[in-house]
Amino acid sequence: MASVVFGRFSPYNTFVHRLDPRNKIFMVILLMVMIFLRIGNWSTTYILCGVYLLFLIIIMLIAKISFLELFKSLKSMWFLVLFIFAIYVFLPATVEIKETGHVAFYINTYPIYWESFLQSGYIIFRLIMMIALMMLLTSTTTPMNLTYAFEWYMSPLKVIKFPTHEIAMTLSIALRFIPTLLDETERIQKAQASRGVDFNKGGLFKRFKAIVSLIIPLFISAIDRSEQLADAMEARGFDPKMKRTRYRILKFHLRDLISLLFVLILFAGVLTLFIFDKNGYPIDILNFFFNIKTKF
Amino acid sequence: MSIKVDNLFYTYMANSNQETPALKGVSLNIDNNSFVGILGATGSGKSTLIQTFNALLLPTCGTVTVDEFKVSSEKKKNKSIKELRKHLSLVFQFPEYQLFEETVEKDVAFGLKNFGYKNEDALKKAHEALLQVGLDESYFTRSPFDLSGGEKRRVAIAGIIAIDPDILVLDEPTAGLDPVGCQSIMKLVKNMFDNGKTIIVVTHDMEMVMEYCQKVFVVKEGQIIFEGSPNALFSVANEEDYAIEIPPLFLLADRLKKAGKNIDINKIHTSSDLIKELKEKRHG
Repeated sequence: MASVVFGRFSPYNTFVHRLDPRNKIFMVILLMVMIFLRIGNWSTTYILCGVYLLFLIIIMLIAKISFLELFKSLKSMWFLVLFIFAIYVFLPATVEIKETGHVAFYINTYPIYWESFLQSGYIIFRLIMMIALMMLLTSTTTPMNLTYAFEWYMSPLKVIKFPTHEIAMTLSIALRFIPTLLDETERIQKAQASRGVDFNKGGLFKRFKAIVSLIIPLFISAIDRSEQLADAMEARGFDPKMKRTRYRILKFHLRDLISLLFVLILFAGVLTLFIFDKNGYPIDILNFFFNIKTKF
Repeated sequence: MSIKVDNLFYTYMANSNQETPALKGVSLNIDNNSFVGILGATGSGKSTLIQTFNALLLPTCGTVTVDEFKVSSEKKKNKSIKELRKHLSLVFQFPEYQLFEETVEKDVAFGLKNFGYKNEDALKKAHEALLQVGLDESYFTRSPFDLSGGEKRRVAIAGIIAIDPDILVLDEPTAGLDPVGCQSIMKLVKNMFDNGKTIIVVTHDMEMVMEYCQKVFVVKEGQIIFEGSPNALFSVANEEDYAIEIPPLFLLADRLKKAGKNIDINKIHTSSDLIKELKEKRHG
């Protein structure tokens, strides 16, 4: 089965699963922004990263998301991680690092800075956090609820006659068919394997042919399916221009308010620190709390 | 070629929170040149079972032995999978969905080329297979997508029989076809059986089972719950929960026998068998 980067919905009923999807999207965006605010010197940045990571782990435990699943989706990223690392460490450092940085070692006479390592580590950390947050969102919210939430966010655009409902409908149909198409792919793959196709071996031409034998039937069945679906919708009186009522209505509960307040307070705190830091009051947690002076 | 399945287990999405066992300790033997039916309700595990036969699914535990080929849970040990697939072919349900080439003959030859046939030999064998399924020369260069449902299915089946496997496994070969289409497909399968092939069909069509199968296996919740001849199955099906429908012909024969007619139920596979039996017993 093809590995999907952002996890499939995991059918539990935890606190995180029950949250309003609109609220969840908003909170995820806030947390993402928060992660991108770099505060203070390197030691402070890394301590805050540790705090974010702890926070994320706690939420993941509450939402019953398996860490194995996260690692699986990260596994496909290892090349990107290596690439980022190489670029940051071996390419000439920025002016800022050159002026204030500390040299770790020299390759011949080419200096490699400690700061480059720290920088690449920070970027990789942010990447992982982004993926983990996206996974948190997609594996605790059904695709249907996600599209409802998107539609709600787009609703102001209705004023300028933007077809929000049609777009949401298209999106939800597309999402609905992802698992179906995956199953279909698997089925056709097996059928072709019975005809002697080897999807993992052979030269370029053979592999190309193998892929063609998979893609064409897949397209045909997808087109067939969409025709059938359109007919079925029409038979039930679907009209894209009509105003519709809804079976599931999104509600903002007390738990949404509590979690939103919590995230907002966290965000506000981090934002305050950030503003202080950028306006001449450098934040140094190690120095402030423990009186330890570091060079990073 | 014969198949021996030994204590087979298969679990979908093993080691995850959505793990679902599909086969729970299946053991069975299928003899060379036999016509076998695999029956059971939807979701009983029949399709999973047949997919382990040519190593499309590797068992979680247990083995499948097809002559000298062995399919087990260890990937490294299953070296000659491709060779196995040449000898044991699987026709999936709605095989018309696997067509993709520009012409019918190319599509049928595709499998052969994968198994190492030269282009010309492959086309020659493809033509033979197409004639065998009842599609004449006028079809060879047509696009498979312009054909009717029944014709498409015959092309897809031709693509498999062209490979000339020793064992042919068919997953609901007659589903969604009209009666004439059904009959022509089953005649074709019977013909292959008469030529010494081993045939395994998964089906819900009990009349077909009664007419063609020598032996049936009933699968329920991942286990074999019945093994024997079709007529033996039908005569106990009322008492057990096998989720099958007894064919009218069998019911009729059974009633006649209970009403005092001296007929041998085990000999009856088609309506003409029944008529013959009745005639013989009247004169005899």
